[in-house]
Amino acid sequence: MEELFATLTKDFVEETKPLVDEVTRLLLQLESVGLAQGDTREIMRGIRSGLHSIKGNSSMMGLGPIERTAHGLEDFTSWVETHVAHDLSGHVQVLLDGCDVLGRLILSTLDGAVDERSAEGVTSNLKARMHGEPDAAANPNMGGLLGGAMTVVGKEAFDTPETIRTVRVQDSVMDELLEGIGDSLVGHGELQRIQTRFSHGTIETADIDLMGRILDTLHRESSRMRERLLTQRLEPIGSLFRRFTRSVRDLAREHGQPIHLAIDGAEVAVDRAVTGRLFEPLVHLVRNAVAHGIEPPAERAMKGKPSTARILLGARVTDGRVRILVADDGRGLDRQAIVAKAKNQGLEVDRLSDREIDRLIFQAGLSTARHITALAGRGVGLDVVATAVQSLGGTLDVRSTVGQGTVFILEVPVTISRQTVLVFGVDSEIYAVPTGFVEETLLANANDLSDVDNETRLVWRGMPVPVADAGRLLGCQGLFAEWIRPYVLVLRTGNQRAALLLDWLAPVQEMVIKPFDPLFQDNRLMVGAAVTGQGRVVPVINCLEVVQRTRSFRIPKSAYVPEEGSYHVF
Amino acid sequence: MSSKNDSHESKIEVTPEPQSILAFVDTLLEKQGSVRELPSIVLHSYIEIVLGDEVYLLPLSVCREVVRVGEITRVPESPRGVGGLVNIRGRIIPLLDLRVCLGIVPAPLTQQSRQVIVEISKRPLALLVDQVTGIMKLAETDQLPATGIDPECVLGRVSHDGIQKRILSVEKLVAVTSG
Repeated sequence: MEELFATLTKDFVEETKPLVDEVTRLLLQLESVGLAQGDTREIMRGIRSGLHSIKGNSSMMGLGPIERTAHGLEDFTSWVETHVAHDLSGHVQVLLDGCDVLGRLILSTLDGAVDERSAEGVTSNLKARMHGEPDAAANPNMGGLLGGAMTVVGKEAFDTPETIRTVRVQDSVMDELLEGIGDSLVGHGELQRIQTRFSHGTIETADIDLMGRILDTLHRESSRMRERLLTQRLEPIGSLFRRFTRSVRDLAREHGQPIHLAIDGAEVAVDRAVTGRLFEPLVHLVRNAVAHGIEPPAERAMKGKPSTARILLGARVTDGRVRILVADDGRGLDRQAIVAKAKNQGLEVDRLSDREIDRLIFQAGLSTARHITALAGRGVGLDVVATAVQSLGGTLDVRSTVGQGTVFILEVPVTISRQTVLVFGVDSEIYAVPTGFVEETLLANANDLSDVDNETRLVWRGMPVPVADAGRLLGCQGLFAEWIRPYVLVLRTGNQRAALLLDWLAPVQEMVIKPFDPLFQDNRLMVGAAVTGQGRVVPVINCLEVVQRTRSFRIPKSAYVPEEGSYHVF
Repeated sequence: MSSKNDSHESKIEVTPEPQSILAFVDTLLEKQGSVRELPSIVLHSYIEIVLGDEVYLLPLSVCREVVRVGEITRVPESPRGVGGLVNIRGRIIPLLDLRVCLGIVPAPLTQQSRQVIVEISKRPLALLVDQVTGIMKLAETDQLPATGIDPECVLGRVSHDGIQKRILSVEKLVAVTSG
């Protein structure tokens, strides 16, 4: 009996939570249309209908508190329809908070307990509102219902909804997949017959050709099935972007600054596995835009900017990659502050172009937040964004104009795919670099290393390039062959280059890079790990960070420096 | 479904209300004589491990399997206590060196060293231990409180076979390592 209830609970949550999300979406629409004096009747009907369904589902499951909450919200919505003239935003806020509580209550059924008190809190507050008592007794258990608990609103605005995820697969695709698997099994059967002939010693040359053809077919079928399955996970990126409509609205209210979120390219289809890993990075970027980028209303007025600030989430697809923009029309990056902070950290900042200075913000520890607000959280979110994007095999860039605004450009693949990486070895360890960052690999030549002002540089194509011993940079133990390694890897990120001395290089291969477990979330040097064909785990380096560190790399006095005129061949 | 022992909020059990369809089904089943058993003494199972001179107990509920130690890949700049990454049947999993986590002097691996693969909040982790010596069951009543010198991740102790065995909370262990 309990098992039956558990299954039904899962179905209930799967069906009902999306209804709450839909009502939330309609409420936001109601607010913007209503404030613009538009016709809100259709939207109201949608809201009431959604709440009614939630009420019905909860009633069938015997979940009284949830049913009563939904009922209360439904009544309140009807009441708002007749009293919509004044304080629409206030009413919408109450309904939004009520929906938050509904959502939490629904999800909590999975844990087997329902918080009766927060349900009661909502219904009694709604009743009070309808009777003209807008500021009913403050109940701390209601989690932001009165709009006063600002930190709670700020945090909840970005909480990832924990709904059960399913994918709809079209019948035709199922048929194709089954056919493909069927063909693979036929191939398997033929290989078995060949194996038998081999063990009986009756194998013929024609069989070798046959094996080749079967292997080709198997590879082709597997790749095709993989492609088809991946397309089933594609969903319009708009669903990711729309998760921010609510958060931006809440942040705007908290900040006392009207902000409009514009969404462009919502129809661009992206693998859900990719958008799933982009949510957190986008949260960081949006938070930063609101907390650091957008000026307070007074400042905006002084600059002659429209009073409503704008944030844009946009997407464009080209050639299997999707380009995502996060833009704001705020004050732009403070280059002086960035340079000052970078100097403070001992980074070399002379002779850097504006674009290169801007890209410094992706380095860990370079956040220019003057204070860490409840809003911005840790304050150092941008290095996390860089890591996440790189682990997807993507790139990250930023453009900014002082006084006008900032644009972050993320480029990621449309589907989680295998990335081409270069695997290299230093001492007894191996690491991988996505080939997109590799400029060149070459044999080391002591003649190319030169020491200028205690800075070692590699002369590469006539240019001095910062160089580091990979073993020392990566903290390998037992550095024996420091600085006399046979190979050089030249990396490039944006306009910056760096060279690493290594022990050996493997041919370029394709691997799927997996992001790290949260235990490594503060790691600056690595973005994830992959598994080689032989089963070895290979950490993937964070090229942005490595190139940056190489620039400030100082060869320790005790290290062995190759003698002039000699070089080592692998 | 059991209710949680949380004294701070009034959470009620999700029992179906009389007019709901589930209550109807419930009464049907009851008519067929399904028996409600009274819970007797609650026993918890643990995997017993050895680290240095001490014996620890890991709740079986979080453990998934025990495997021999293979290659451990170091990740530069990892938190203290993280030994690196391991490949368990194609999955890349972080390895926690329990000796380091519990402040015991590190020692080289032996033939008996093992990885206990656990799962915390859907995250798989490998715990490196000196030995896995078996599984044991404990009644809650046998559990003694942790002493002042025990680290935070020790939930309690039990005296068994004449030795003091410490009960570990894997969640706390991970939280402490994350810093």
